[in-house]
Amino acid sequence: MKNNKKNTKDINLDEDWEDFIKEEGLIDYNKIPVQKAEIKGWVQIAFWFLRIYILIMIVMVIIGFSRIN
Amino acid sequence: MKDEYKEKLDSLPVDIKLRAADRLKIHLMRQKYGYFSRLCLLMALIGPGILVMIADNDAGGVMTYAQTGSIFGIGFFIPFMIIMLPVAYIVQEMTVRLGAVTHRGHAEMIWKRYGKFWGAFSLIDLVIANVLTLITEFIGITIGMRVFGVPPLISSISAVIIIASIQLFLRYWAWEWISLSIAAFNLIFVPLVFFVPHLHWGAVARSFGTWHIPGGVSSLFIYVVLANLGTTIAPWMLFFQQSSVVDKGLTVKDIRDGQFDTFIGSVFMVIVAIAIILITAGTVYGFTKTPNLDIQTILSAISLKMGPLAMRLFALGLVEAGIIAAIAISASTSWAMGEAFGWPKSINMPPMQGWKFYLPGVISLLIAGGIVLIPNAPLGFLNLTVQVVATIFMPAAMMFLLLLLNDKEIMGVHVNKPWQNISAFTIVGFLIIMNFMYGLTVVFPHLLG
Repeated sequence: MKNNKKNTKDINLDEDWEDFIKEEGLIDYNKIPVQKAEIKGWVQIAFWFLRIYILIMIVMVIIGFSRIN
Repeated sequence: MKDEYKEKLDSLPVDIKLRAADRLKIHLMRQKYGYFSRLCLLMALIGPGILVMIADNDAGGVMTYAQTGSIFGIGFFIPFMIIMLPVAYIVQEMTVRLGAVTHRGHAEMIWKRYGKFWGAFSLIDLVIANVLTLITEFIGITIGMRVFGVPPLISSISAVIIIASIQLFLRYWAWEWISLSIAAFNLIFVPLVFFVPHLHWGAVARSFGTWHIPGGVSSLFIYVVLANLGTTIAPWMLFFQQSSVVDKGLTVKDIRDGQFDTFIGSVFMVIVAIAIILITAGTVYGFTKTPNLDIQTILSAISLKMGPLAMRLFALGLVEAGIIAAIAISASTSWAMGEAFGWPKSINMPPMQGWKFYLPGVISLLIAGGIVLIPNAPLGFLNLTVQVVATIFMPAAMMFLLLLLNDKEIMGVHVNKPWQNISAFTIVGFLIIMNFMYGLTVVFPHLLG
């Protein structure tokens, strides 16, 4: 505790306020624009793989559920 | 807090005022040095990681671990659960970085980065899986409370009121600490291990040296592995932790603490999972070979071998697991809907001001709480559907996570390192292979004998 007190900076929030708001991104929090990604290269392959995977799994699920019923 | 700080905070827009107040405390703590101050800062920053991991040991998870121990004993699944620790950590740690860097939830990132189709696909899957998972939480709550003589009607209504109140009337800081306090009861399973009759710790240690699949690969074995994997990494967990990190206001400076938080959570999750497997392996394993062991049979066996007090504590753990998961899952539904539709989305919002945000979570609680009360509802079929939806959705959710974490445009220097990509792709690959194998055993039931 003694060590803490010795190492504590004096905080002047008037000076510190702008830095705090900026660092935390409080005003623009969640307002920075995100653009739609360009789907090309390996990302495009990943999306095709995902489509095929979903299709196969849906077919398996339909067969599985039809057997239950 | 000093008056001057309060005046400055009052000057901020109302929707970010509460988060700013919490973050100001962190900012002031960060100015201090020394071990005690560092510990205080860590305590203030932990939360989402521990919460998501403990909530992951939900009622469905407790039932899965209990069935695992009952059917397979300790031979394969104790070492398997140790492997689940890095698996859970590697997957969830990515959400910490993504949330802290982008200040956006997973649903919002998919929607904005990959378009409306994939955004809607993810949102619909998540909401369906969340509602179905909530039903399993309410099954756990009502079964657990029945042990204490509470009828399902009372326990279901009480659970809806308690969980909705926590979400509606507590602001983020209080919501997180109340949730963590409830989550602490998840550890109730750990001391029970020491009262398991004839539990040989030597045999537990030997399971690591003689790791093998008991009875070889069968469709039941694949099903149980998938069920355990499905309770360790689930789609709602990705969405929940990232949104929670964003709502808490973590920034890139807090990533290290967020990682530590996630690691601690993973350790707790695995300890509890192993404890449940040990309890049921010691009390039920060998008792019966039926794969469709229900939780009532397991509770009866625990009562028979360990006494009624142990059975009640196990039931209490089941209730707690259901409540904490319902808190997390309903919050994840609200956050995801808010992120997708651009509504104000923060637990810091007062109920009237943020009614749009809270509504999806509350409705999902009402649906789940109501369905478990329907006489002869096909709860087993619903449980199976939860697993099917989660199974299909998890590789998709993981793929979006990996695409985002490798996107230098949004992640900058916090992009995935090669070892993180190798580990994550291995996990996705294993998940997809197991999904296909299970799918094949459903289509061709005699494939593996």
